[in-house]
Amino acid sequence: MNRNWGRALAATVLLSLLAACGGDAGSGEASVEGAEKLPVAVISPLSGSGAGFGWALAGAARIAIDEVNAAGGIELDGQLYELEAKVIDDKYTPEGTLAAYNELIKQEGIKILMGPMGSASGLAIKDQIEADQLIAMGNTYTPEMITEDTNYYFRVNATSNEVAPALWAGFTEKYPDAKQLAVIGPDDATGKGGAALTTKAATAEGVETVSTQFYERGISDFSASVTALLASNPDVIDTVTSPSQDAGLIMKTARQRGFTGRFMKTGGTSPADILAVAGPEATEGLFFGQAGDLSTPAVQAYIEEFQKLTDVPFDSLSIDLHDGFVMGLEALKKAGTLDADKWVEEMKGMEPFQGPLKGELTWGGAKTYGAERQMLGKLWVYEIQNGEPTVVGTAQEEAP
Amino acid sequence: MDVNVVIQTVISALTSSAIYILVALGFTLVFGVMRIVNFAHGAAYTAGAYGMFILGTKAGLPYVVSVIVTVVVVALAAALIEVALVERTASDGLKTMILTLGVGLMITGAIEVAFGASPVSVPPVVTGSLDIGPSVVPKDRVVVVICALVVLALLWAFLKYGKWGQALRAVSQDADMASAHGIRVKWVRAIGFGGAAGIAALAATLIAPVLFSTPYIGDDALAKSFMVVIIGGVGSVPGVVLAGLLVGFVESVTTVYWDSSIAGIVTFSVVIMVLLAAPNGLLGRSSARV
Amino acid sequence: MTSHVVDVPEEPSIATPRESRHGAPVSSGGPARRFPVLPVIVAVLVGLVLLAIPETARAGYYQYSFITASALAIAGLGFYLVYQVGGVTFAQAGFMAIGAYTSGLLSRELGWNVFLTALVAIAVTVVLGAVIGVLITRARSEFHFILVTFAFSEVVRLSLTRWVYGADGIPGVPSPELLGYSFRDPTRYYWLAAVVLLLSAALVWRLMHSGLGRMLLSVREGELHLAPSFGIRPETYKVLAFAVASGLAGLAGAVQAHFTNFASPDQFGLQFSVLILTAAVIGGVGYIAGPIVGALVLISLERYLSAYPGTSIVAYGVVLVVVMLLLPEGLVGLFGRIAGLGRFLPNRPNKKVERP
Repeated sequence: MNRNWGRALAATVLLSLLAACGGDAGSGEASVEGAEKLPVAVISPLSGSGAGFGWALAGAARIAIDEVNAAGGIELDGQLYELEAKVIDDKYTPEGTLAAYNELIKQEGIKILMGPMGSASGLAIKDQIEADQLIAMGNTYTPEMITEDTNYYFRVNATSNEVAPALWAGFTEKYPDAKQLAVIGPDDATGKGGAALTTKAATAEGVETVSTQFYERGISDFSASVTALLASNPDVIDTVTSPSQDAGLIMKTARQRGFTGRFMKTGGTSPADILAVAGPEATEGLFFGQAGDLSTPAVQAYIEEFQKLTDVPFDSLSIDLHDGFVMGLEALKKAGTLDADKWVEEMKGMEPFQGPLKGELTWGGAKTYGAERQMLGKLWVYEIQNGEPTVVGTAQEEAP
Repeated sequence: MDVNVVIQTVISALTSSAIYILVALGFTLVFGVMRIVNFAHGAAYTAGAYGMFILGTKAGLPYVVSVIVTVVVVALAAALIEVALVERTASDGLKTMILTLGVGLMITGAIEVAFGASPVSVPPVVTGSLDIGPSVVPKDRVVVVICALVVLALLWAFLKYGKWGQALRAVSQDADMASAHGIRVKWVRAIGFGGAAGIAALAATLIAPVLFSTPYIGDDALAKSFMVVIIGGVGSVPGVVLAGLLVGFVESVTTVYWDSSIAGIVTFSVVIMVLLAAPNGLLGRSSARV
Repeated sequence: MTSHVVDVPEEPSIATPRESRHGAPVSSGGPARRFPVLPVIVAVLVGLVLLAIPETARAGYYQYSFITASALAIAGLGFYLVYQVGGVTFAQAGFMAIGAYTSGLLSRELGWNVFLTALVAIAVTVVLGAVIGVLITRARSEFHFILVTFAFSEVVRLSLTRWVYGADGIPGVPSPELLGYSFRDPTRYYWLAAVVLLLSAALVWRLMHSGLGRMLLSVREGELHLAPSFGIRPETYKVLAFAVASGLAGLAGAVQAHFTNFASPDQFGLQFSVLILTAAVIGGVGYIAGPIVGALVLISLERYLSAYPGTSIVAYGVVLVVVMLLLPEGLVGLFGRIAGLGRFLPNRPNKKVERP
């Protein structure tokens, strides 16, 4: 009986603690004297398979916020504010995003959103962002995130839509003999979207798509998929929006099978991840784009700041996002008030904006998507040469 | 029918089958000896892969050394867990299964917290390819298949002729009888549990240099073990081999000629069909055993 | 087949009442005829707590947790039912997916009222559960049962991914609405979920305390000699339990989908089946209140740990191990025993599982 009482007591105490506590998310570093705190919701995957992309966003958000605070904060409606990042890990799933959204936006009433990351996550809250009239900037790959009725959401990253045509133009100029394309990507919205976009862009450059394979998310052995891919005798393989580690393994497997053609990646790429998995020989000649020039001092400094926040490898996606968030916060400052409609006006009027890392930024997408909410800037075209990502040119991201 | 494609498909299939067979063997071993579904089996597999990462990639030890150390450590740890925790609930099958589930989650979770969710690689054992007919076949996969065959042969010999192997089989057939013959059933359980974990870890060490590893590979390994054991029949080693080959080939062929998401559906459907048509699996023993 | 029915040990095992002996049938009529004092007291207390929550400072947080936990608990009640007839089911996740998609798609695509689509979802899952149940009772042992139900859930998940909307699922599942009164608001949904949960628990309670329930218990204990007197084979009861459990899972799926306005196949994989099992075990798998208490504890734990990525998996593992070693009857069993109210608990725990 005593033993039971003891256990019950322990259980009750534990349960009460659990019930009383709630998960609290991390917050930013800088502090501004005499300022009130203004929370900014940051919803992004911090663990699991999306962590690389997720930290690109979360890191960019935190750094952009710190920069604003270091410069003295933001004054809205006569009150000085210090921004505070409220970060929640949505685990790269729509339900995680919904839960985070519910907590930060619905319950805590935060009006500014940086995120989400991921097409499915984005689509899950798209309507709510509009209904709740948020000040929202995020990264979602799917074209469906921006539609005619999108008003309050600005996409601050380039998707395959903006990148693929530029990459293909550069590629066919350099390698005119590659005529047959094989595409492989994950079996989800981002993968299918990426595949469709690269086929479209390639066709425009006279390259025929001879095979398209989709693999179930989460598998780690691509040999069978690669076999199917190679059966069509392609000259170039594009791994579109596959996570970089998957892409690396696919490339390594293909080379082991004697594939001597070229590799391309028209989706987000982290060259460090790919090299780590596949090694320099297999990845030689990989043709891809990055949001910034990794060798410039400004970007180097940014990477250093980023690496103070996390061990997760740096993904250049963060460069797009950082500049986009900087622009968004600048627009908020100009609006001088927390009114989302005023902010939208300012945001639209920000172009051309000099992004600290990327240079000139403009808006586009009116014809492509139905609403001018797509950030456009410069794209750095890279190729892996002797195990090193090397800039081979630049292009302009486009979305009429 | 492109010969090259066929050869590549066969090699993919054999590689996968080899791993599935080894992992499923461990799984069925525990079931035979302890009559429980060992939910920690996947975690043993993951531990094997990460053991290789720690020793091979981080510490830079030679491959064979890493394999031996990893397998021994995992097996011993598992045996220890069995004695310390599992034995306490051994009288209640359901409790034990849930306990193993908990242990598995703890290990997998700990690996994720320690190493993160991003994939890790293990240095390759062999590089390069060899030509088999019109095909260029990666050497590392061939090595996996050969090693798996060797291990399988050794295991078979152990079970048939080894002292503890025979004890394992005796306990599987009838624990009371075995006890009456002087076999220390508790020891056998510990060895069975530890051995199974060791085999799973070994399978992981073989394939880790070929693919990359995440904390979640154990889930897949566990799911495959389930399937192979149902199809092959619980407690039957030839059944596991046959079913492992079946699953590996079905996956490979459907992916190459159709697409990969269909592969999963087909395999699970086969599982269900086998269970309905042949509840003891293809080569399972009679109901008295199960 | 040598069956190891072990004697009742000193320490209560997962499902053994202290006072019963092997062979003694569960007392017929006892709890059912007495006025359920404790359940009423508990219900009142619970009702007070439920009323208080929307008034607290972090109402939204608690409401959200509660709703998520309700869905888990309803599925868990189904798990409990199947457990009563001797099976550990991993099929609840699969049926939840079917329920979520059925109700979600019908209301989204055809514009039907959510309450109607939820009923359709329940009907579909009950029928499907009966069909699957008939096939599954051929399973020769618990092991087989687990594996087949797991295979079922995976087939459902993969099929939905492949043929219905893909891996990203269905966004835009409508919120329930009745005669103009919308349940989109979390506080309203919270009450809806609470009512649905209590009704489900009441259903299961009534089931277990009816003649049907006694029949189910005797099936579990292997006392088949009682069967002929009812004129029905024991297998039929197993199928019945399975069908009801499936319906509960379908309902749970609808509850979740219409709250989050979303459904995707990945939500209902192996991890989720493990979650249901864990919830039932923590609460006490032999008690009706078990899955409910377990679900609440588990969801609280998960939300608390969401701030520390990756730790929730370890936490579940630790909880399972600790509960198995130290609290085999789960929290409900433990608290019930302490209060000396073992006899009054919603349902008596059953004999231990016969090891195959």
